Amino acid sequence: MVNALRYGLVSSLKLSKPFLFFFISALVLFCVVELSQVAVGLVNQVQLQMGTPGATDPASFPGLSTFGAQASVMNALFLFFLSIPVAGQFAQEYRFNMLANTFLMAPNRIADFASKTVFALLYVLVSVGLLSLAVVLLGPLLPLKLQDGTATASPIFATSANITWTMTLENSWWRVLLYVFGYMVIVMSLSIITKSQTLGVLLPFFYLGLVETVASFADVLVTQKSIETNWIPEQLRFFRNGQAWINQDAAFSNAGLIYFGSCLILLVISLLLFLRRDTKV
Amino acid sequence: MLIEATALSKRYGSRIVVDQLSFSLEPGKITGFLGPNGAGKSTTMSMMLGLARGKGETLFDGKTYKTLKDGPRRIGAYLGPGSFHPRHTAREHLRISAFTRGIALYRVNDVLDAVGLGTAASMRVKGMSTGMLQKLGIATALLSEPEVLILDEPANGLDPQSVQWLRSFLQDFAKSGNTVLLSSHLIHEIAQFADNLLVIAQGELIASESLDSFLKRQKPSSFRIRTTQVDTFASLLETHNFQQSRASEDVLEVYSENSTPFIRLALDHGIEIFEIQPVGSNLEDIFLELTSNRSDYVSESPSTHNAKKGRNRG
Repeated sequence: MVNALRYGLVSSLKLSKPFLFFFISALVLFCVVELSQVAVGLVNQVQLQMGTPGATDPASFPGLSTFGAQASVMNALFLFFLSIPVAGQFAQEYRFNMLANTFLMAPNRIADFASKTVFALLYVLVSVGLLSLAVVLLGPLLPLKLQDGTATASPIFATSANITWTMTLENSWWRVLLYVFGYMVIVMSLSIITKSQTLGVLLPFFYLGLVETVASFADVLVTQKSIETNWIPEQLRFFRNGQAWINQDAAFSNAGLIYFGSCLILLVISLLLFLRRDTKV
Repeated sequence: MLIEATALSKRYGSRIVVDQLSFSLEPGKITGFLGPNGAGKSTTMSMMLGLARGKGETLFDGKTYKTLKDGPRRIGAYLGPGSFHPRHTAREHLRISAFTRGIALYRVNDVLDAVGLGTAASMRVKGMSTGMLQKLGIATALLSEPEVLILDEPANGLDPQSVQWLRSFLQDFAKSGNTVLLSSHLIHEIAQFADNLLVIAQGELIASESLDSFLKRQKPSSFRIRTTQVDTFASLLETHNFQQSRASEDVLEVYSENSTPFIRLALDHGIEIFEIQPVGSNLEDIFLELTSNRSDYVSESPSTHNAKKGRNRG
């Protein structure tokens, strides 16, 4: 058990270089995306909003609060880059046949799994914290400022109107953090199941970006044509359910249960494989 | 530490890789684990350490590797050169291993020097030769000053000096009451320093005995005698009940464990002998006989191969 904890720590530290690289890359890209919105806003003199593009209905975003970080960590780019080192935690051991060495040093596989998972999520926590801090620092530069549940245009980059949105104040930063944890658990589990860092990163990203987008599009078509049947069952749209859970979207029943249930199922499958697979020497 | 493996069995689909293997390893002894390629040696070692799943169990002083207190420190194992991160240096790899197992970090330099990697400590794994990787693996196994060493073909790729060092190191290690199990498919290599032998083929245990007892399996020896009076000597031997056969025009093969009686006979009858060459089954012959028709990966004979080549060209 102690060996497993030591190994979890040391492997996280060893991965700190790529962790740092990917984190900084994610942060830079995030800033570029957000600041480009500011630039576009200034040029076009339109009201802009920080966070997920296209989400203009404040009522559906109670998660957006003072820090403004909630929507930002859900930025797909940030999730993508954050998932690279998380997937690498386990996948690299498969890729380089290092598990034999690991199990010789720390033979309790459950403890190894738990230790690496804990340290990976710890890294996610630190990254999300740092990103939130960066957003706080960048906040005044952004055109929309949120305080005490009221969103107003930033005094620095005030654009077309002094729109004031009154929002239900609910500080759901923890919901966003849990969502990201869940996403990373999915990434980690898929990297164990497929033994591939690339697939661990890409599968959820494509599922989120492709399948669920198509499903949403199909949903819109279905609604427009007043057809009652759903093209893809709501339960299979894991990430949409996760986002609905953050935003407490009443349209999605059992959103949290579906999202975290999916995470748990994948986690259990990957744990079983991790425990039962023979170790290649 | 007493090590007992009981009924180890493993199959991949319908293919049995390890079949009801039971043996024990004594403290203070080096046990050679022999078998042809694909006999199941590496799988057996992996099973002993819980790396591969299967039936049966291996107990180290009554406990499995997983449940043995301080197992990773008391047992040093090296099962192949693949288990390293290519971007780690030799020193980094050993430091991680030492930190994880709670071993003092000064041991890292000690073992690097011991295996002769002191000057390559900062070299990345991906730039190392097979021999250097073997040395790094052996260094990892020695890091904790263990009581037991389990090594899978550790001499592969090592230069003669390193093989000699490994041999004398293992002999000293065992003399201090420690246990060694090392596998090889080369019987000559093992025969130089092993006390006991385990021979397996197609996953089955064929022999488990001391090296001395294994050597006794050698067939009664014969001698090849070169003489100009082959016919005279042959009939003389026959009348004195010596089994013999003609090996060539001027060579007789005499089947006897002792050469003195027929040499005396030749001298008494004035037969000139120019050369006496003892012939007998060597260790390799015994090993091949034991494992004959029990290897999954048998090479075809050069003549068959050449005949096939000829047919294909024709």
